[in-house]
Amino acid sequence: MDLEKIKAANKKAVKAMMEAEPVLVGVKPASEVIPGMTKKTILHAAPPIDWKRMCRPMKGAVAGALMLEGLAKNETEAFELAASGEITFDACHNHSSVGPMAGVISSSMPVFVIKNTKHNNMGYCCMNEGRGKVLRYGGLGKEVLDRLKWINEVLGPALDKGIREAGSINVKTILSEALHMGDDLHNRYKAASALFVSRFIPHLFSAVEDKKIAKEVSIFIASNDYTFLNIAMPAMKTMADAGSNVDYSTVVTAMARNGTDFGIQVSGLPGQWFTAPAPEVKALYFPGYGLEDANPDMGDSSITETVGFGGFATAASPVVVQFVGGTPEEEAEQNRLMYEIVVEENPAFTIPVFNFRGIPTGIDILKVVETNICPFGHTGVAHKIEGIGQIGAGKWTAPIELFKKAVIAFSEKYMI
Amino acid sequence: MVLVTEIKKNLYKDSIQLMRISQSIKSLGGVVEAAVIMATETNISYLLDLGLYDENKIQADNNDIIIAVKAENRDIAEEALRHAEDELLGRVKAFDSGKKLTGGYPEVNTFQEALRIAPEADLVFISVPGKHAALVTKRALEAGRNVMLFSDNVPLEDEVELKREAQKRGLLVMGPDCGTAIIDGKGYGFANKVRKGTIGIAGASGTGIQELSVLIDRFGGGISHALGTGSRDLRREVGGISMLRCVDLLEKDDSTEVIIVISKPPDPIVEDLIIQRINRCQKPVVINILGGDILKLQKNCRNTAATLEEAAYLAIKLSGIKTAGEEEGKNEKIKNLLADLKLQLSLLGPEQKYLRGLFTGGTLAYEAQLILKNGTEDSLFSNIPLPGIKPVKDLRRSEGHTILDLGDDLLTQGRPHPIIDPEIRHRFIRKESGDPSVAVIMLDLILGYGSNKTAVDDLSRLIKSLKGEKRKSPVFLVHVCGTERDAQNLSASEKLLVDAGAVVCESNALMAMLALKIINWIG
Repeated sequence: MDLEKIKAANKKAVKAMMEAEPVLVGVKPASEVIPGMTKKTILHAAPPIDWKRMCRPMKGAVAGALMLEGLAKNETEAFELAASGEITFDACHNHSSVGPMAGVISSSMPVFVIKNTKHNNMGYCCMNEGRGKVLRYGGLGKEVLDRLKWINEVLGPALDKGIREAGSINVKTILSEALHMGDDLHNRYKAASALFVSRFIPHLFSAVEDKKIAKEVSIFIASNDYTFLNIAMPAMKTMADAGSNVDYSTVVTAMARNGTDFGIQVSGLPGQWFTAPAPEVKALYFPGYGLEDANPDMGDSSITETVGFGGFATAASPVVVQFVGGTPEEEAEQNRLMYEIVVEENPAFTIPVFNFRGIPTGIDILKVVETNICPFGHTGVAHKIEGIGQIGAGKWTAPIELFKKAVIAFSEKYMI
Repeated sequence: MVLVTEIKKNLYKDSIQLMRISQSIKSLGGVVEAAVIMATETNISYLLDLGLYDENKIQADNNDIIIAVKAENRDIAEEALRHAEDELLGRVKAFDSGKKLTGGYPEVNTFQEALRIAPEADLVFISVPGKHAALVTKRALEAGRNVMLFSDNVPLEDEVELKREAQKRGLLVMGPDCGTAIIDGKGYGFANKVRKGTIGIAGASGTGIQELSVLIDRFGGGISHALGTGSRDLRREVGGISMLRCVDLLEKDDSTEVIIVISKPPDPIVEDLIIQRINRCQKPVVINILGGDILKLQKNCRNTAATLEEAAYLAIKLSGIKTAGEEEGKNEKIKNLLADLKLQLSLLGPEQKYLRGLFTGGTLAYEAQLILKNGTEDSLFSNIPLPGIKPVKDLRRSEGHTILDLGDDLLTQGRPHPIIDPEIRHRFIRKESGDPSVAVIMLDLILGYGSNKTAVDDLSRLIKSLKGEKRKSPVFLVHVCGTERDAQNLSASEKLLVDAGAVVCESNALMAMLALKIINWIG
């Protein structure tokens, strides 16, 4: 086994990941910017999956999107249309995009446009709807659709104006500062969102003439702690993509869950998804709910762990235990384990409690298989019935079979 | 079905803690439903949904905690209440992280991480299954570290490749199958706590190094460093790479004034290489090749020894230490021991004429054979036979004089080594003691790091009970390979054994010589 070649390739891949400079340049309808988007395309959280096998929350989200696009008049029609074969389903990841939870993106939805100014690749993600009954948990009904329409017609255009007035918004600096303010940049985004909003609002008010709209929009984004999640995720996608497609590299460039399966992609094996059934989340449940109500793990948000945030930086976010349970000491120990399965430490993002050690970046499938230490992160747990929403929170671990499958495919390709 | 409710006024706990407590009391046997919540409006509606709301009992506000339990009977419900209370008030420890620390460093899972948290380390101790040892050792060498390779069953080709790599980088690989080292006063693997001093050892044998080090300690000297080379280092294929490097290191080391080289007979070409190197050495070197051509060695080297004991004495003399009990005293010692034994020997029956040596140290078994060879050739058997000595036919039934290495690979398949777990030797001792043709049983008892903590007590008890059982019990000779500093303490151990009825010999060589004298005296 030519380990030297692999080592060099991994170094190259992770270097690109770390050198990426993602910048928010605007908000545009998906149809205008997302490659391969059509009126009848519905993108969803990866890995790719048939309508038949989709979990209920994702099906609910798909139905809601079809109604938003005017392709169906009600839920029944929407479900029939989805099953008919007329709709093209694909993973957001396969179109330079990402989406949290069900991650459904349809053609009219406005998406954040991220440009990696170092390598010129792009990334996209839909807007965050906030709390309560929302599409990403499969929420349906007038409340959901009305909000989605408002996002299409008011929020998206207003944000776009503000961003262009600012020129662009540097995502990397916000991530770096927020990491020193107790965010883990997966489940806790309070600091990052506050930083973004405080810097953005002057541009919003300057660019949007109708002050009533400016006020509406600023209240919406300011009252949602997760506003920045949907900007950070595509930025991290562009970082990961920058490191993909490197021959001989065993670095993971995507990790995602669609509520049924868990999938990963590897730099030296471009275009391939390695999948396994999504494991249950080790969670604490809200009163009245339990394991039997839980949907399996879901969302593209594990792109954050892919580039070293979330579970891989959890020691920087002691308060995350208020959301997922455990103690800060345990979190720090889990975080430390992640260093043993990566290629590099990213000096641009540091963890104060580890003496400012850079976040562990570039998961190596060989190291995962060698040590049996699997990447982990935290997440909210959705109810398995569409539309009910979050019922708990906890820890996910990527199944080892994913990495074993990838290693086998890697040795077959490179004829080792 | 019973519902019990309790209010804890003005007590705040965060929702995660409350969730956890709810779950833990829900899982108690007989509990049907339970909730521990802050009494907010939302939470009270949860209680309603769950059928846990007792409007007569609930007079709580946002600052209070409600514990509500529905259970099969009152006793169970109240038990659950108490449990929840204990957890709320911190009387139950919810988590035990149980993280182990070694010397202040956390446990890690990869070599890469170990290097990162302890970059100052310059020795890597490796103990992984033999077929993977090469990969791990290579990483250590590439990182510029010396290696102590404890693993056995490492393929010979791997050993050669690794040692060549080490040679290229000016590093040392101790091993494979290197079980003993002492560096700067610290023991690695199986080692004794010995006085620090000026004698350095380079050895191709673990228990050989141990015996040498304890004898030097007993005779008033001390060890600077004891380095292991692994048992195959002096084979033609390996070429003595590690042995030569050890001699280099000890020659350069300021704290070392005398060097001892010990090994079993090397490949002749490698032996010449070693002899040449020794003769070029700036410091005096004692060469002890157990079972080697002593005449040839005496011709070519200035300081040679035939036994480990002789090597220890010689090194002590060369380092200028005055020691009580020189070589000349040896015959005196044997005569005295024999005299002590006269009574025991007179009690032996005419059919008792054989010797059984049950060793846990391979080199000690080897040395014993060397000494016993002269006078017992035709009737001497061993499971690690020297040239000229007959191999044991059936381990379960000894015949004639038999010397067994109980730590031999065949006997340790799927079993801990007898130094760690002496049970297998106890079984052999009982068996041999019950054999009516046995007159003498010879035992080595190895103390120090890694050895079984109750070995001395167990052995003494066993000997005592066997000697008490029958008038014609065999004579037990024991050599304790240990020092006063070892946890089990040399003199305390020897006393226990003497009280149990054993005869204690200060060195393995002495024990073998005594055994030979006894056999000849009986025969």
